[in-house]
Order: sequence, then C-alpha cells, then structure tokens
Amino acid sequence: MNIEITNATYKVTGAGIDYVKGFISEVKRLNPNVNISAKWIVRNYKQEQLTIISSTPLEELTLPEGYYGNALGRIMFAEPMTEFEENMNGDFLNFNISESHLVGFVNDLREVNPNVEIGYGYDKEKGIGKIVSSIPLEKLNFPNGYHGGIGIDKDGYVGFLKDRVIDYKINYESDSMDSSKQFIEVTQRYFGNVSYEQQKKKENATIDEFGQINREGNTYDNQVVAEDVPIFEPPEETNVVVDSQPTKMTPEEELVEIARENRRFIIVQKERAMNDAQRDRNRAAIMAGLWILGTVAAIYFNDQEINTVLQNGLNSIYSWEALGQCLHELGPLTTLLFAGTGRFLAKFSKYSRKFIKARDAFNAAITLENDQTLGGNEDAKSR
Amino acid sequence: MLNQGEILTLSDNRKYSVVFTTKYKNIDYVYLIDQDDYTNTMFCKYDNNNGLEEVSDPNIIEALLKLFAQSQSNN
Repeated sequence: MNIEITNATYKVTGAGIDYVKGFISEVKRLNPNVNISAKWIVRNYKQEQLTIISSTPLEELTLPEGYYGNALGRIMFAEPMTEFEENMNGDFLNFNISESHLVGFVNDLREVNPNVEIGYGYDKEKGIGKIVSSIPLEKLNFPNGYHGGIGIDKDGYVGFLKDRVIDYKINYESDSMDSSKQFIEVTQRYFGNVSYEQQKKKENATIDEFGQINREGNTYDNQVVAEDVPIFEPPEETNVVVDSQPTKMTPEEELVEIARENRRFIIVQKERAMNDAQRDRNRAAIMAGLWILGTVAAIYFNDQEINTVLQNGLNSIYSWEALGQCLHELGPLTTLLFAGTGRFLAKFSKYSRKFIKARDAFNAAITLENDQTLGGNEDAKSR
Repeated sequence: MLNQGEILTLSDNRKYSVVFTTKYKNIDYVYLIDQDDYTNTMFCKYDNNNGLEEVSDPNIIEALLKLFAQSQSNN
C-alpha cells in the first residue's frame, strides 16, 4: 500500500486528537474537494507525531471561524514538513540493525511465508544483516506488528524504515473517540531502488565474505547448517560474515542505541542578560522551563491527580505578567507550555514504560474539552 | 559549572537559558530551554572539556527529575 504524499503536512503539537478531528471535519465541510486526514507518524523511528496531511496547503483553503478559527495557532508550528516528504520519496532505509531485531524479523517473515526457505546472516561488527530466500525477494509477504517497520533492499539487506505511519482510526460520524491504532504499511516493503551496496560504495566501505547462512527454522546455533535443505546459494558477491548465536539486546546495547541519538553541543558563548529586553526574555524562558519540568515531574511521579496539576499550572501562568508580555511574539502561552511538556514526555517514552504512561495521561488530559474544563483567561495570540 | 540564569549560545546557533543545574553521581547536569522554542528543552551532561551532551537515558532523567522536585520543595 502506498502512503498518500501530498503537498502539505503539518506537525500537530498544541492540540489533542479531538480538536484535530473537529478541525478536519470543518475544513472538509468548507472545502469539499480537499483531501485531508490525520495520522500518527513515527519519524526516524522515534516518538509518534500527530500529523495533518492535506492535498492543499491549509493556508490556501477556506478555514473555519469561531471554535476552530485559531486552529493553525493551535496546530503548533504549522508549517509544511518538507523533510518528511523528502524522506518518504527518497532513500528511506536505515541499514543499521541489531541482531535481535533481525532475528525477530526473520521469525515473522517465516511465519507469513510458510512454504519459503528463509535464511539470514549478520555482521556484528558492522551491524548489518541480510536475508536470503528460496523465492524472489520482492514476492515475500511482509509482517505487520513490531517488525513491520523493516524493509529489505534488492539484495536482501535489511533495514528500518525511517518513517512509518500508524493509521489512527478517526471516526467522523461518531462522538466516541476511537482510540484504536492500526499499523499499516507505509509503502512496499521491498525497495528495488534503495540499495545497501550503493550506499556503502558511496562510503567506500568493503563487504566481507558471506559465510554460513542460517537455514534452520527456529534454531540459530551457528554450528548447525542444514546442508540438505534445498535452497539457493547466496550469490558470490554477497558477502556478510555470519557471526555467533543471536542474543537479545542487553541493557548495555540498549543504552548504546540510546546514546547514538544524543545530541552533542559546544558552548559557543556564555553570557548574562545585559539589558531589560534580554532579562525579560531570559526570565520568561526560565519560568517556562521550570513550569515544564515541574509539570513533568508531577505527572511522572503521579503524586497528584493530573487535572489538578494542570489547573495549578494554568493558574500560575495567568499570574505571570512578564511572561505574557514577552511571549506575544512566540504564541499562545498554554499551547507553548503544553507542547513543551508533551514533547519532553514523548522523547523518553521510547525506552521507558513509566514515561509512556505519563505521556498518555498527559495527552488524554490536554484535549480541548479539558482545556475548557480547566478554564482560564488565556490571551491567545497565534503566531 | 553552569548556573541558572546564564544564557548559552550553542553550536546549533540557538540561545538557551539555563533553567536548573544539579549534580548526580558526581556528574554535572543542566536543564536548558531554547529561548525561541519552548518545545526544545533538554537535560545535558556537562563538563568543561567535552561540552554538553544531551541525556536520553530515562533512568538518569528520572533521577534528575527527583533532584529537581527536591530542590523545588526546599525553596
């Protein structure tokens, strides 16, 4: 199945799913010919991002007034996600894969291709894996679920899809929120135009000899090679060293993977605020940071009911006159702070169930209905 | 060591305010917020030689959140 790539995609960070649903319904009503939907998108295998995809840039459409009138303000950073579109249309396989992922993928592949002999090899040093199959690779069925985010190039090298889409079921006819998520294929899982070898050639890398191939069903003992299994031999130019017995990812390996994602910075300049404008801006940022961190801590450690946390937070916001003055340029204050809090929680939810729980509780609480329940006199000024 | 209130221009050409600083297992940590984008915040490990490295380990983040919560209740 191919994902529909349109002209405009918008990252939603300031509004909940109910608000987005309502906004989309109104846009469709006012613009019957537009094709617009919302999806959860996992970008670069990181946290899900609620995204609006429209066949026409939103700014060119007739937009609703009133309740959804400031929707583009709430759809924080409402700007086309060209990077996402480029990724989807270009090379979008990340060929670094852990052995545990590869083995899991091979297991799933064997399940959905029961009459096919499938083998694999893994180079631990390079972190690359490759499969071989008794049928042409492009004819393999691909699994969904956890290992559904993996694809293969024309030679069988295995990689992660850089972007995948989880189709969030949005039921426009019903008032009830259908929270089921259904994983769908982003596009064909076999990528004839994406090649590990071409990538490596660009990097001037060499590929080692392809040694033993594991051909067994469920045993991965490298000593056992089913010589009598009649599957085709790998082509001689395919050279990946098969290593030892596959293992689950250890906590250390997981931390290594986490560390790869860490950004590193050099401090170019360190200074103190030198004038009133700088002082105001700095103070506003610090207070926003304290608010975000305090809210995250309160939600994460679960020592208060979440609506109480958010209500107390909102009350403190409205008393910050300096913040209000400074933030006119940046946008609606509550939207900014909620977005900051949401992003903090989402960032760490990849490796932590506690953060997943906190993130989900927060996301559920900040839907538009809750904003109205919590109340406040937000002086919302959109960007 | 960095201090709350300082403004850092980092190698991504963005200005960050130092919101909170602490020490955990003998390592200095800071919490920074982008002055122009409040969704861009991070805990970073800091030392004079290696600069700043963003922290993604959720166990360390939990410990730093605890230290933050304690510091707020002490104020």
